[in-house]
Amino acid sequence: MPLQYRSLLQTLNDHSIEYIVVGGVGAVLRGAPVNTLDLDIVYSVEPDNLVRLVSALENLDAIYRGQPERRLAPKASHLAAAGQNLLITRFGPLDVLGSIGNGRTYRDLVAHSPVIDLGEGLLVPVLDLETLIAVKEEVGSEKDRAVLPVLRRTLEESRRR
Amino acid sequence: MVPTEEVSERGYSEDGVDVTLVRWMLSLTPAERLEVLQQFADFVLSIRATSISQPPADPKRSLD
Repeated sequence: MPLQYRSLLQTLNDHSIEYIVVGGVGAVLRGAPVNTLDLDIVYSVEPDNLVRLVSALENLDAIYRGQPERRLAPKASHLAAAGQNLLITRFGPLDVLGSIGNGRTYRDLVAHSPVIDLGEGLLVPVLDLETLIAVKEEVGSEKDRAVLPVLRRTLEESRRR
Repeated sequence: MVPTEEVSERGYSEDGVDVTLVRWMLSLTPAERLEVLQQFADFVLSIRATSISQPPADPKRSLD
C-alpha cells in the first residue's frame, strides 16, 4: 500500500476542495514530533464543495476501508451527513471528517487554520496547535490524551521563537 | 501562555516529552516536516511489506 501525503493534498487542491488538515499530519506540519499513517481532513459541507469532493475522491479511487471487499465509494449523500468517512485511496488512508471534537465543523475551524506553504505551489490550510489541543481534550480518548503532552510542549516551544 | 517547566539535562520535560526533538522539528520548514513524516511512513510500510512477504520462522526448528 503506498502512502503519499503530498499527492493526497495536491489532489484535494487540484479539485479546489475547501478543507482543513487536522490530526497527526496537522500536528507535524505545526512542528510536533508525532507519527501517523493517514491524513485527516475536515471538509466544508456546502453543496458545491461536496460535488467537488466526490470528484476528487473518485480521482483518488477512494473506498471505505472498513469493508474493502465491498468497494463502496463515498457519495455526496454520505458526505452531507457530516460524519466520519474512513477511506483508503490510491495514495493511502484518508479520513474525511464532517466534524471533530464536540461537533466542530469546517465553518467553526477555518478561522483557526492559517495556510501553510509546502513548496512547489502546494498551499494547505492547517488547524493551529491551540485548537488542535482543544479538540483532543474534548475527545478525551486514550489515544488523543497520549499525544497531548507533545502538542502542549510544541506549542510552548513555538511561542518562544 | 503555557507555564515554563523544568527540562532535564537529558532534554526531557517533566511530562516525559523529548524537548530536543520538539526543537528540532520546529527548526525545520513545514515542507521538511512533511518529508520527515513521509520517510517514517515509507520505512514502516517497507518493513510491513517485508514481514508479509517472508513466512514466520518455524518455532519447532532446532537451533544448531
